[in-house]
Amino acid sequence: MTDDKANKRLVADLRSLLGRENVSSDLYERISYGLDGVAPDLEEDKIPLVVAQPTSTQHVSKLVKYANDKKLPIYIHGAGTAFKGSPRPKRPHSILLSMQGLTSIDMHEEDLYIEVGAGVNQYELEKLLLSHGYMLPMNVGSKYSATIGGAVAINTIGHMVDICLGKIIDHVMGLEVVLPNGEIIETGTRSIRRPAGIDYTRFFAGMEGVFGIITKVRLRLIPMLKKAYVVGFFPDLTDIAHAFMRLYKEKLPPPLYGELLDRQACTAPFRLRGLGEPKGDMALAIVIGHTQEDADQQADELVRVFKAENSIEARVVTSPREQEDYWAARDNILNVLQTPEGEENLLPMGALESSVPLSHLADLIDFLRVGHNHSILHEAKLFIYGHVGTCDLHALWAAPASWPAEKRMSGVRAGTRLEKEVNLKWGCASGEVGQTAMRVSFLRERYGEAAYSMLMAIKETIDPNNILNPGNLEGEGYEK
Amino acid sequence: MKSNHGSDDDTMKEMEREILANIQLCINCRMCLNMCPTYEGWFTQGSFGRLAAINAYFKYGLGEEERLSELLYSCATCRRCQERCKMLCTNASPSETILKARNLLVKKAQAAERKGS
Amino acid sequence: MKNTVKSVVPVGHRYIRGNVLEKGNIVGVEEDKAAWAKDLDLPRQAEYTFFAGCGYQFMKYAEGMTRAARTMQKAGIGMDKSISMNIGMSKVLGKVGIDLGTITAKVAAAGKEDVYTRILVSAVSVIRKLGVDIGYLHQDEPCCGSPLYYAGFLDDYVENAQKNYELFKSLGIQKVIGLIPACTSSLRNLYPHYVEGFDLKVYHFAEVVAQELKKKGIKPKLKEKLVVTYHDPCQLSRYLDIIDEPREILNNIDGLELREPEPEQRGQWSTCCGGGGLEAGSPELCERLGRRRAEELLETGANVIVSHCPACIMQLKNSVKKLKADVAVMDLVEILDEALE
Repeated sequence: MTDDKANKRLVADLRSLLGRENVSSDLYERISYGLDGVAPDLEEDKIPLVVAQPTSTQHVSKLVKYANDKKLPIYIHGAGTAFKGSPRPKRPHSILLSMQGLTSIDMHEEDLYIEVGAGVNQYELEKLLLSHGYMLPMNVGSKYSATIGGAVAINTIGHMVDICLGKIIDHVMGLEVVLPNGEIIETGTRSIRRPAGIDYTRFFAGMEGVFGIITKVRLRLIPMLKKAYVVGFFPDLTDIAHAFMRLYKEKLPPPLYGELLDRQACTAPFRLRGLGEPKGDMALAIVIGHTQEDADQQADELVRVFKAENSIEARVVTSPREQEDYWAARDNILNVLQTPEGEENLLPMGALESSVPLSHLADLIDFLRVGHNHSILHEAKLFIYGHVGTCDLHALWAAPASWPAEKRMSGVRAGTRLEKEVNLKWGCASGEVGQTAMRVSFLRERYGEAAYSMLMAIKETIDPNNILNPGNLEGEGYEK
Repeated sequence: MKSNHGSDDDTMKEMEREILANIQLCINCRMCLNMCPTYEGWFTQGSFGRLAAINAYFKYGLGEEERLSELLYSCATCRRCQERCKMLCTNASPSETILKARNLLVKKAQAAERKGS
Repeated sequence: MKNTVKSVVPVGHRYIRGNVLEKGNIVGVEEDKAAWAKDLDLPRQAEYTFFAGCGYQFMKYAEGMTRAARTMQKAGIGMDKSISMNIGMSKVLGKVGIDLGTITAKVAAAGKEDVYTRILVSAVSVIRKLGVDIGYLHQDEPCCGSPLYYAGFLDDYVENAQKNYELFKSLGIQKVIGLIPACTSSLRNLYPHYVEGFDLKVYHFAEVVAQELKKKGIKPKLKEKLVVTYHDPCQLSRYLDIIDEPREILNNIDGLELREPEPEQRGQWSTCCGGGGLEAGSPELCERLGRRRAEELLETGANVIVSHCPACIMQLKNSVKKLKADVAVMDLVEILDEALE
């Protein structure tokens, strides 16, 4: 059969398995689903052959059995927004499996959990939980498009501080998963008490879709707590680092959010929202308590800590509008790429997301600013921002749009290398987008070849035809 | 003063350059989609799919004019995506880009017709 | 590979383009567009020129035509064919002196009260009650051309814009108050890009009215209480950034209670109702958007949906009717005119 005939056969087969309206072979559909959250650039030979958007776990199971039979790669997407390369097809002739059709929601308030389809949108879930007096224990910038299944597959958390409430998979009581051979299994428990010992949930939660496809998530319901808000402006970023180091040194309760945004990164979002010039580098925190008094007291303590570390201004924020604006300035970090009228456009040229041990928080800032020797990054505009309260910082380098594409690409590579250097230097790992694709090189260096060989051996056993996200564990397409 | 009046090659090249420069700002965050009133579950029904198609067609020469036209003209030009991109992200001007793409597509068709005749 | 204008521009847009270029309005009728103003004593020259726009002037015809087009689509006659039939027949009849467009429109509009041109009368009434000096170009008011831009015919749009500017200049016009959001945004945002030396000051009706009400400290009052919700037209909220003014006007009316849809469905985030150009390319999609927005607005529990754009008003009227809801759809100016009695 010619390629074209084979493709038509594939589409027809999938249509009869999943329903005609859940399969698309349109070129533009395939192209747009085959992109990740980085850049609109295309690799023609990697455009998926078909996009499947099934609406039930049975459908997913049928699809996986079929793909195994035909040895076709499947790339699994929530919304496809991960920005370290994992969503993009690494191999040609793939099926792009979008989980956005799995949107079931079942509340079990009496047992303190909710079961949601993997494709449920994070923002919609957050709003639903809030309307019932609960909260979603994670908050990423891309929540307006991202899914809960993707979040659990990666074990991300976004802005929240890990040691306050835990990371998302700490709240996952169980999963429904489709194995690489198409079998459907259910894991975990419905009780508050987690299983001791072997819990199959751990084989899939945080495993980036390489051992199985998460189709449903059972999440613990967490009551919404009382909040208080603190803002501080500091003469230097390292002061903010010292403030949070002091907070923990004094054994104060971890805030739910501890964020920083450097002065340069504040400028564009402040301008967009009419907030004037930032008074310094900004720290934003949200503390939680079981009572408002508890939250207010924590906020006062945090203000005291900020003041003890040189703050130009530190106070409790009481105006909801003001808090919304500051938070939006921090949350919508990509606003920094918006230049005033007449100025040249900026393009992202490298992003870093690295963790450090608490005692080295200030060292990280110095390292990012002056300590490293990637000269191309020093040429670009640097914005430092992120989750200082959880010792996980971001750096974004922006280059003028007039830079040649190749120069910008080498900046992107430099950013990834620097990210690895930071994590290796202090024995940590990035905490937000996973360790596959662009980060495999780090994974191998950080944890060694013995561990990596073990991982690959397990993958080969579980998924002998390598149909789930192939190429991601191998780091294909990226620097070794 | 800017004018894309006239269908000569230079004018069209400039229009194409503007369109592709806007799309370079798009980081595929897909946050515009839930604001797009025509999005009904498939990316090509929404702002994000339209931008990806415009890029694929003009930058990489992929796909057919008629299909691109279907995508471009099913847009309500409401600018909700653009508002979202401006407030939450990089301001890639998706709505304006879709309209500019309409104009460029028509100019190219008019030029092709003239050549043909 | 076909690369022709016909293959890349939907027939509805091509049809509208033909109408604008040949007859100077979007529906292609030759009716006296200024008939609504004949008893209003509007001079041609004044400090401000009131730009009424094609929308309200021709909505009664547009309503008939879109209904005919949707009916034909539902009966299985493709948009292409139904419009081609129309155009074909028009050409034949035109040759013997029968203007099919006008006749069809008249038939469609027959027996119906024209609520749309009444809105124009109310608009003028409001502006006069606020003491603003306006003139109107009557039959000489051109089409702003924006349907050409949205249809993709940039060259036609630019030519039309330049011609219009020359006309405005020759008549000594310096300040324009637009009523239709799309026309106003076309004049304010696009003309300066494409017309050399464009120096007209372009205001929107709501800006001027809100300002004058505030300046003169006027307190409009309704005889009967109304519970309304406000639908921000896309062109008004996002193309012109006019979000607060209509709300200031409505909140200032004694006896009017304003209920808003969800925060992410109003103001700068107002959900598009699907009215306007989308109909020309995708009538069924257009209908779905209309229904969804009508449902959002009806959730507020208001008995009147207020908007400020002819496309939105026509679309929401149709959608509300289809949903069998007992809710009126009105333009802001109608309510304000009543409250300024």
